[in-house]
Amino acid sequence: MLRQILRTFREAPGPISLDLLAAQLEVEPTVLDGMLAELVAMGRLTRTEGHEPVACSACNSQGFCPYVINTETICYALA
Amino acid sequence: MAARIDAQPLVVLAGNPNAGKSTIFNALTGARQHVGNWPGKTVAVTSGTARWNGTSVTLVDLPGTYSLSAHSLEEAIARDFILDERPDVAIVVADATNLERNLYLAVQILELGAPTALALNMMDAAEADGTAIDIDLLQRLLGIPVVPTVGSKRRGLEELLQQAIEKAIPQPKTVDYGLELERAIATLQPEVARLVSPVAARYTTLKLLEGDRRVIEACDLTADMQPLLANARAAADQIEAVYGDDVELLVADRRYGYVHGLAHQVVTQSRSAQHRSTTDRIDDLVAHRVLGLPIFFALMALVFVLTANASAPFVTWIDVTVNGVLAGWVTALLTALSAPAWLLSLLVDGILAGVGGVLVFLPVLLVLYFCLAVLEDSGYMARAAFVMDRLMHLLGLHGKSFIPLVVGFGCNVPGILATRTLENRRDRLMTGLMVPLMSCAARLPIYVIFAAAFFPGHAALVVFGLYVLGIALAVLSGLVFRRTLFANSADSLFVLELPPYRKPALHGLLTHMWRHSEEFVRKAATVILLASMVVWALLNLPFGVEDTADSLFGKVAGAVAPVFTPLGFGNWEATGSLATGLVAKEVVISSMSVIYLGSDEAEQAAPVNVAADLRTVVVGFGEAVVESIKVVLSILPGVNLTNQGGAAGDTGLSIALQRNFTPASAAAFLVFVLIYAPCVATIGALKSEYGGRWAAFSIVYLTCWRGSPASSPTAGARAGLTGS
Repeated sequence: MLRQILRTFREAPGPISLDLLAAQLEVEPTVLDGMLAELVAMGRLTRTEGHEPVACSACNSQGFCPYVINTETICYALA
Repeated sequence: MAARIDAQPLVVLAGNPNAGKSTIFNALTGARQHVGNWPGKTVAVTSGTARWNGTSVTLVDLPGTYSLSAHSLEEAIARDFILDERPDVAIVVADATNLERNLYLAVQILELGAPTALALNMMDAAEADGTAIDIDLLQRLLGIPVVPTVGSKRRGLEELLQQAIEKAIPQPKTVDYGLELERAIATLQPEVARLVSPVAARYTTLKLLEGDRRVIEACDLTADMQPLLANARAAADQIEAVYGDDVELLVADRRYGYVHGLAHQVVTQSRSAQHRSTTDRIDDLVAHRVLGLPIFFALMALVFVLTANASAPFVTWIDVTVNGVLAGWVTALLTALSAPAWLLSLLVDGILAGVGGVLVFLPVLLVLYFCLAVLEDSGYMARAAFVMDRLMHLLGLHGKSFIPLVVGFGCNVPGILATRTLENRRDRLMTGLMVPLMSCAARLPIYVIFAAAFFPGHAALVVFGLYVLGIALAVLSGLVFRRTLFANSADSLFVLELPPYRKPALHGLLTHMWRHSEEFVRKAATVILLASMVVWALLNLPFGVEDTADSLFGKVAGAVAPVFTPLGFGNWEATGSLATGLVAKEVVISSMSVIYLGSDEAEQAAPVNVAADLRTVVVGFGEAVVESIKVVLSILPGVNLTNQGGAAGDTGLSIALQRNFTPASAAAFLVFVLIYAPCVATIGALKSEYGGRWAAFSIVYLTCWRGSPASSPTAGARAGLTGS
């Protein structure tokens, strides 16, 4: 599983949040959280601030809306 | 820091943050607590005294951690305390609502070798959430007491303390870290055991391979440990070269796989279907109690249909290229050079016929290994073991024993070596004795050529049937062993690692495919080349012999041949070929090629047209690709792009076989090839793993199968192999 997570990060264009990664890998976020913490401890990933696309029904700003929703969240990226 | 008070039992509480560890600690100790710092550290330590059964117990609340990897101060403290202070019991407090995550730490503590008990805390919340945990199964799988608790309501705490103190025993849990790592651990562990307690030796060895700084520093203090550290470094480098990842990551990855399998086996969620992952939904079908087995056999049948059919056009193409074009060129060249007749015969009748006769089947193996790699890399093979679990339990084995059997489909030798991953000798031995009945890839060319020659419309079915027959005989053998040799042994219980399903990467599939197939090519250039030359020489001795039946080979094989007359193939050609198969099963085909093709066709230096030959080769390859695609597409329901039966087309050898066997004797020959004595490499592996006596026993019991009605030609007829 850890190797699959790292592969996903290698193929991703940028940092990924826990929820997005959990949805992509179809793993419970609570289970994935521990694995990400382990990878961070190993020095393979870093925790970083990032933006996560939010699906607003009437807006296509993909979560980068500066006015309504602050979508900043903890993300992970390859170290 | 908390330490032992006289003979008072020392119990530590470990667990993830927010698992309710401190709540349990407070409930057990009440006001009898002391808060201090760990020596030289800023991390607070809380210890206290609990009363149990009229005596006092020292309780230490370790810092909350998710793991014991010692990347953080808290993790290092928790790990060092358990290793250095040797508590009487370590109680792991796990959040029952999030068991999978919490089990990771529990498994690591078990690996430390400490007597351990598991508290499934917040059970009320887990039940309210629709989570059911099979506590009895979890106890048996981990081999430790497991007690449901609700710390906030003080439920289950008395029982927890009682079970922990009375029933927890040192029982290092062994996670299977894969063949390469397990081999390195087995090599280094005896030396490490001189440094640490025997129960912690495996854990310390693992840490050395991971390059754990603290463990290495501890070993580094002793000068005579330098060779051990150097060996560990070398082993780690080798493992990293194989897997392309560092050992620490590989170990954590395998441990998470183990924990996932454990949670899958003991946790049942009653949440609605929309919250279930694709992996869960696929598992509902392929790991289903009733449907799982038919799905497994249907998938295996598909693999063999693909293997036999998709490779067939390429088999014909290589045959034309090697035994037609290349043999023609060699003949023309040597004739032009006025080479002696014996040299021409050696090269064309011996080497080209023998080696070429085997290499023709390289596409068959490539397709087989590709299909098996798809099943492996997608995560299905782990489910296959899960599905086979119930069947294997009939034999007193676990589904995990099925993995070495599947590995045996490639080659019996690694299949036997893979039994090392099983935890007790009885399981290893029983599984190892069953592996030779798995049809290895070396036997596949024999199946394919005979099936194509005698059962052209049903070649794939015949090949699949032989694989199934091998499995059936293995199961039957297992049943007999269980009731005789291993009648008094207890059944074992294992955790099956279940990785999530994933899309296999093409590069990985091709790497797997070639890594397994290159052994076949290597053998063709060594063992088979040598065997072909020896067989050719024996067929031409004494010098000047006219008829190969009068040769040394023919005479010796002819003397033994009557033994096989009841089986329908009591001729010297078949007998001699089977005998050479003891070297390696592929040699049966190379020997038959030398015997039948060598004596069949007199070499004539036909005029060579290089351009026409090259055109034949290139166009033939293009046609093979197109035909193979058509055959694969024709497997889809309602699609029929080809009129062929799908088996390999007629090669020179298949035509020769049709002249020397009947469908009944061919069927008997195939069954005989499945069950006769293993090759020398397999016998060697059996001897090295289980000793000479068991290797000898393996040959004897397979001989008993050989004498069974299964290998008689009438059995083939009864099974419908011979047609009408």
